Amino acid sequence: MNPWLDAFAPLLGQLPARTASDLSLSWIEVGIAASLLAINAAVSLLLKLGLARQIATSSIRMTIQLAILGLVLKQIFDLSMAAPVLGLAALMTVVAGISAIRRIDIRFTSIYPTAIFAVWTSSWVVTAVTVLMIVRPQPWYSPQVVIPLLGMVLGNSLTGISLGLERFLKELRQRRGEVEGLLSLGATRWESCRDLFAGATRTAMIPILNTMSVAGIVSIPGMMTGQLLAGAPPIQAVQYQVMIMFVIAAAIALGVVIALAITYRKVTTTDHQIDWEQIRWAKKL
Amino acid sequence: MMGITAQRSKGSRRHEDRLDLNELGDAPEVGSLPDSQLLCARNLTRRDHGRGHVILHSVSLTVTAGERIGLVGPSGSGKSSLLRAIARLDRCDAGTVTFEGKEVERDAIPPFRRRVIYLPQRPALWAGTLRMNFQMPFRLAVSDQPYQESTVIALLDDLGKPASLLDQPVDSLSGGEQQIAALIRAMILDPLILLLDEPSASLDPESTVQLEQMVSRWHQSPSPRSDHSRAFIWTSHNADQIGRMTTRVLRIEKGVLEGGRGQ
Repeated sequence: MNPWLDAFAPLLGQLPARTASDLSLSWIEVGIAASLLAINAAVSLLLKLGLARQIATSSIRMTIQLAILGLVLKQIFDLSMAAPVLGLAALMTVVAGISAIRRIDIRFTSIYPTAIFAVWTSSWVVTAVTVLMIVRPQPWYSPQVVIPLLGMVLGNSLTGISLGLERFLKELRQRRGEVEGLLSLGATRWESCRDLFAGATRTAMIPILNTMSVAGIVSIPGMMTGQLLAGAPPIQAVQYQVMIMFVIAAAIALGVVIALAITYRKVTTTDHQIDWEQIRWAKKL
Repeated sequence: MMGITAQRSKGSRRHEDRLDLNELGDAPEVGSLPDSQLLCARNLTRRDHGRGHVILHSVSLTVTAGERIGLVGPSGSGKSSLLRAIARLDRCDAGTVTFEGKEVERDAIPPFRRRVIYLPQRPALWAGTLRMNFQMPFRLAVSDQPYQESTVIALLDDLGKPASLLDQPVDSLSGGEQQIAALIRAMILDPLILLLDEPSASLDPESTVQLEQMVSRWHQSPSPRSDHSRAFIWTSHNADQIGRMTTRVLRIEKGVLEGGRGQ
């Protein structure tokens, strides 16, 4: 017998095996997963990464955030009313808009409202189509459908908007000479920015296109994993996953185009100039 | 000065005596011939909103047909800012620019920038071949003429450069060649006024001579699309060059143009 297994026998004995159809966890079991973080801590200490503190704070922060979400969701599920669902959705959306900007280090005046508006419009339009025309839950505001769907759409949309805006603003500054060269030879403001706009849109779309092309080969995507764990038939899990991928791709495209269109209008003038004073680096990151 | 004899057939008859005066080094009298007034900048004012200081302080300036204006002043005095403001490339806090009697704003600006071209000190060529750089401006919506390679080849030939240069990527060119390429790119659009921002600041003596000759040749030949003679504003720290190339010298200091304050 393995002496290690013997040592763990009393602990393991207290953890009853269960059937695959009921996979609910207790907090003790989550605690076991937390102990796996010791691997991260060991790596950090061995390689002197200096990440031990950050590993600890990130883990605690994530646990608290998700615990609060769990409690809020429980309340909202119990209430079963439209207003609290929409309220939570609005809060999630605003936070997504702010996070989209916080991770980039180049700004223009009113970049936050721009991002929030872009995230809001794109995610809500796309999620509304998904909920009302594709999933069609009863009632329509069923929080167990609306909140996770919106969450997935928001998470991807904010990444796309973040990548797109960063790329557009940085290129505009780095290629200032080329852009002004076009303007000074008679280009309209749109002609001078068109290539940068297209490049930024492309940058925003690449992550989801990569995810789509490797889905099912390299990884089983999140939503499908969740459904399989919850005991859904594989084909249904696949259908949902394919659907959500299309929905996410649409939200990213819509979100980044809205964000870039507003940005383009903000940083250019009707006199076909670039308003360079608008664009600046963030003070701290 | 070169090529003075081999000049002007059509379009410049009524400015002939004026140009002869220029050769003698006399400045044309501004406003004596109202119809020869090409460009008029009035009270151009620009502030740096970040730091709060004034970059251009109510600058007014007139360019008449055939003029060769030198703009001098210490570094940071507002020479580039003034040229950029005239080309309407920067957002100004006040002031107007009129070209051929019409105020230049909004959608009149792209066509105006084909007629009055600003050339920055550091040439901004687009990645690709030289030919691509010359073709690009003809693909813009404002363009009303096709790209004619023969014009480019003639200009290159004047410089003793082979046409095969057109297939070279721009980053293989020297700084001087890039500056001259940027000048050709502007000239083939047939501008009426060139705004040359320290065009030879980073050039070797040989390239500087070539550049000066090109600008002089361009200035002396008539524009196929205008009755007016061509004009330019040239900024430089080199007093000899200003003396060689220009006939009227304006001085700018701390954003104030000497004798150029508006009403």
